Amino acid sequence: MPEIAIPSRVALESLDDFLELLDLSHCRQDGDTVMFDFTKCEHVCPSGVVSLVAYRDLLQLRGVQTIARINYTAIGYAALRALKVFPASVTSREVDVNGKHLRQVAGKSTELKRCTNLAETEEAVQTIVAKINDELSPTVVTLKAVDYMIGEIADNAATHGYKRYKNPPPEFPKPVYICSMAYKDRVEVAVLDRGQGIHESLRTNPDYQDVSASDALRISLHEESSGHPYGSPGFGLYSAAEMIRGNRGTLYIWSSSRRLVMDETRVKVAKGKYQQGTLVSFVVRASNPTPYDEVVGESDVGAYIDELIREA
Amino acid sequence: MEPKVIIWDSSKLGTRLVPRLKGQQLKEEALRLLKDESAILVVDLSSVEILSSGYAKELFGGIWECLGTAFPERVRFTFGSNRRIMWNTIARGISASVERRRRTDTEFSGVAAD
Repeated sequence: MPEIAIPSRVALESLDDFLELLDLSHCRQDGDTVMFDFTKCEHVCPSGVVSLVAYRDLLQLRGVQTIARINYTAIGYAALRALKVFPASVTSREVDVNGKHLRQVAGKSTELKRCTNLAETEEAVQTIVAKINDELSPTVVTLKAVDYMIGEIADNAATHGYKRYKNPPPEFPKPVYICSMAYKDRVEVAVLDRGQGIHESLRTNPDYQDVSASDALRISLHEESSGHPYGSPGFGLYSAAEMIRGNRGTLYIWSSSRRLVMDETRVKVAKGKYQQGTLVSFVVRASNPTPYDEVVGESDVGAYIDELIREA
Repeated sequence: MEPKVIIWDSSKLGTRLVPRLKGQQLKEEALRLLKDESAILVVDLSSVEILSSGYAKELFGGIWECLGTAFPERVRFTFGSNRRIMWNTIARGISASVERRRRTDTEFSGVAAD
């Protein structure tokens, strides 16, 4: 039986190595069974968790069965939560002491959510925001900013990723995968879709028909850039990037076989290993200020628009 | 004719206005109500915590696309301490619709380029 050995640590910075490892599983055939070996695994970051489960879903669509071997005494908590969507065989005895430890540390992560409609997405976002508040006690503004950003990014996944623009059916054609982890002083949130990717989405806009995949990712962070066929403010990802930059956090985007990394000083685009849609991950520092009011509370739309907005 | 005032507040809208699809759905409902020419829709955003620009575009930009210059007479807003953020997000939403109209309707002359 083919086996994929999950590394001891899957971190955001090395996610491409993990994605490459998962991608090898694509050569599997209908009727195969693939074993995911977690026995050495101590930690999988949220981006790794959503990637893992998405690839697992892709394999299943191809008729490939997936099972997991875990060492209950060692496995990382986020991976453990993700394993609720894997059938798992436990290869070492479940020790009460370590079980208690796992329950304690498991509180830091949110269970992976495979959201298939708006209500599930909203619930997932609210769960994450509540968890972040409980675990990290961030500033009020930072918490609001995180709430705002996850909502925007998840809505982008459902709208642009899955081309649900006008009167779509309530169920998404594929899930939006969401997961988070509260570390000591920061939170990581991951949102993944299996949709068209940013490059294809942006090319719907005649202004961007000839852009490269790398430029598409860079442009996606610009204000007023959008591939929405009926027009869009193009503000969601731009505002998230501005807030993350101001927070001294980090933004990662995998899409269209490219990877973008943005921190407070630079934006870098290189080849990336996620080709099945878009993965957006961000890290926000809980105790740092976040320029939510400054970013969302400003606009430069002109007098005509201002005159349209009247107070009762 | 006495105006018929319809108020939408957080009991109707919620406090997190994010998914574009919900904005679309409410736009359809708003336009049905506004077919009554005496109706004025007052949107009370004073308790809203989060308003996404996409939602604002679908709801308020969408209503503007139908009402045009009648928008400020038929749709009014109430804000709380969140006025600046709500105002600017609504402005972004409507601006996206105006920009789309400008691109697609060469005869649209309602807006001079700023």
